Amino acid sequence: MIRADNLWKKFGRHEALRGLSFSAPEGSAFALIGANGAGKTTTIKILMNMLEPTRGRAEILGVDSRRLSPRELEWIGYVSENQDMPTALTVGQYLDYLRPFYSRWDRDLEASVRRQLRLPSERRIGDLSHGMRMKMALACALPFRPTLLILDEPFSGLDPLVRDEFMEGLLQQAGEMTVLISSHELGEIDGVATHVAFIDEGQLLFEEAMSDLTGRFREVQVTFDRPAATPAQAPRDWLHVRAMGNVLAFVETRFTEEDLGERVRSAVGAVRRIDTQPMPLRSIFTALARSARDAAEMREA
Amino acid sequence: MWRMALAVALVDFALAAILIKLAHFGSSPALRSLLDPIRFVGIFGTAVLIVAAVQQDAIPGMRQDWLARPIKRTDLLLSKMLFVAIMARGPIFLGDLVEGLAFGFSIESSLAAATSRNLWMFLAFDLPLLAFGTLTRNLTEAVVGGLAIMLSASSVIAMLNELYRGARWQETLRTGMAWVTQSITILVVLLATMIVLAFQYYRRKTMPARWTTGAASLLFVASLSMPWRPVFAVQQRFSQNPAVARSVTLAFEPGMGRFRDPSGLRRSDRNESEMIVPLPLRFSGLPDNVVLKADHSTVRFISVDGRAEDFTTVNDLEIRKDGSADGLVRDYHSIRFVAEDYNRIKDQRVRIEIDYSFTLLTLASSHGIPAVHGEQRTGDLGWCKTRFNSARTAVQLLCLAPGKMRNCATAFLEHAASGRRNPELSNCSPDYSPYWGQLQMDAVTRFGFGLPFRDPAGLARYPIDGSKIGESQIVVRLYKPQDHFTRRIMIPEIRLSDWVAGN
Repeated sequence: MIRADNLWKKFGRHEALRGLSFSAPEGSAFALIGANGAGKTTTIKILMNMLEPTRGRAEILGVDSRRLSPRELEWIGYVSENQDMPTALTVGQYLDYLRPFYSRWDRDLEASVRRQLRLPSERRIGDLSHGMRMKMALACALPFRPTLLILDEPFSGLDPLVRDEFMEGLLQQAGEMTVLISSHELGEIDGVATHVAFIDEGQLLFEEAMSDLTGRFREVQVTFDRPAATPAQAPRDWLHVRAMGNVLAFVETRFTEEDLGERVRSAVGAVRRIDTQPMPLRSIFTALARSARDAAEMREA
Repeated sequence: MWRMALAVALVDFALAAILIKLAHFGSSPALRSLLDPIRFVGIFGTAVLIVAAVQQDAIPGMRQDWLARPIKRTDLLLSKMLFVAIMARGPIFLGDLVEGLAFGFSIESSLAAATSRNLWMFLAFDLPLLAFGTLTRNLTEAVVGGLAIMLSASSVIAMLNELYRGARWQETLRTGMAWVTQSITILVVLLATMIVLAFQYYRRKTMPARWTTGAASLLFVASLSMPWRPVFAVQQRFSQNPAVARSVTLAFEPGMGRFRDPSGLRRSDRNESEMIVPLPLRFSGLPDNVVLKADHSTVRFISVDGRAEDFTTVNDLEIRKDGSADGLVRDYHSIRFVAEDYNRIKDQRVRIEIDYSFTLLTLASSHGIPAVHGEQRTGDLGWCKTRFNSARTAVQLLCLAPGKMRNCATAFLEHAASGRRNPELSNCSPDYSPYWGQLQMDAVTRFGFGLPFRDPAGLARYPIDGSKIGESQIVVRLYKPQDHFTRRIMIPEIRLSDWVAGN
């Protein structure tokens, strides 16, 4: 459905993307995660042919993004936090304007989305608040039943109530569509995304199904009979290793119930007890981001 | 957008209303003073409207909603062009049409004049502006960009003017052959417009499109300096009657002596920055009832040591021969020099070669209009009226004609009963373009003469004076170009200072 292959994008001397590759399977809710400036929006703009990659290629609905035509765009819904809609038109006028461009526009669905998102027809787009504009963008992206919905930081700046309304509007209509959603807020995609890709400084750190990701990450606490020490050569799968009294704590990134004990003992010797705890998404990303930053600092050093 | 379009349309209609109200001699100073400001506001408003229409779906940037919509780029471009044609050009077209009809011209000629002018304006003004609009995101960018282009072009033009002393580098523009240069500049502009529109609407490549605009601006300025020879060669191919001037010859006629003003006064057109040297010439073989116009001449001075120096002049020699003259016409070619150049060579004995590019115009029609309160409609002069000027020292004739007019004419006051005539005046700035219509400010051409019959200072006496003016008529003769040809004269030895006008 979506495939990025060794994407590079330079703005002057700044490299916004550095060989980014990922693929979002059909029917997935694919989350593109990363801090501000990581390259999420640039990636999406390239996918939508709003930007051209400096190198590499992206495919969307099986078509090179640079060749994206109205035929494909008729199947793609796009919602972005920085989307300039005609401010002089009212909500109703703009929907009237858009309708003829989509052969599958469903007026009942449009009415339903408008009702659900509580969009005032007579209000000028320029007079809408940021949250209302995001809902407006969503209301313009759903009624033609897109097979691919691309959401670029859709929750940025939304208050919780509007965010919930937005999500309800989205989830109720999502159906079989593939959703690509970019965000720097992990809480926003928790429970929504089926797949996730983490971008840092224009590079992909990992790309994985959400169930696999949450399954292989554990917060591990190893208790010793003696004071704990950070091992000189900790396994590469351990992140954020720290010693506190008799306890050695770390994040295990290749967790399996069966071989954890053996792997710990081979790394640190005899232990009294090993406790593991599933990690919330936020903690997983915090650990990954910190690890990526440390690795970058070491490379620079 | 609709409000802006309506406001601009109202300005366009106001301009048409003022032009209709002023007609021939509309005497309201308030209206007359409004004309230029309203014309400027109309042009500026149209430009802003076009740019704003394009910027509704701006090309540069990546936040525009339309980029994510299934909108065909060709459809978008055509919709912009259609908007410009209907909403920006439409009211001006309508104003032009109404103006023609209000002046009593036929629906066909009014429609043809309005269509011709607005088609040219659409191609040479609206479309380039539309292309320019695609390079910018908002009006501020457009204004800054427009000013930058205009300032750069003006600086280059000023530099060239300085380099070539005056506007000689764009010599073709001041002649009837200007249409060749204008056609090339319009082609340059249209080509650049097409490239920019293709870059922007099909590739969204704003930087290359901006570079194209810059390069086209330079090419535009360069194309203004079209050299004379190729332009004239093109014009010769459009000669209506290439045989008519075959027998025309000219020669230096020193026997005429140096020029003396018939009034006996010193010439008043001499100033510190330029010097005029009238050279006596003899023309033979001219058919009857013609105007011979030197569109361009290159005067070459060759010193005794063989060094050559060229001076170019345009439109400074016009010979008229009516049916009453014999085969020969003698006249002076007043060559203007920059004073500095003249002073350098004035006392040298030099050989002079002058290469002339002539146009021979033959009489197309002749019309007589009562000198006082005359009014007449003719096919080629349009709707003409006469009146006295405010000091009652001259009769004014003004003709309004739809579209392009044959603008080489002579006029004189004639007292039919006595056969007396006042001196013939010429208003000959012809346009030799072979095609329909031209780029002009108004769909109705205004053309006229001021024919003096009384000198308030009492120095000049006219055969037809105030006592006979009531029974006199203005005779207007219109000429049409027949042949474009070249001639050369050589003066083996001459000293310029010997030929400066005497008193």
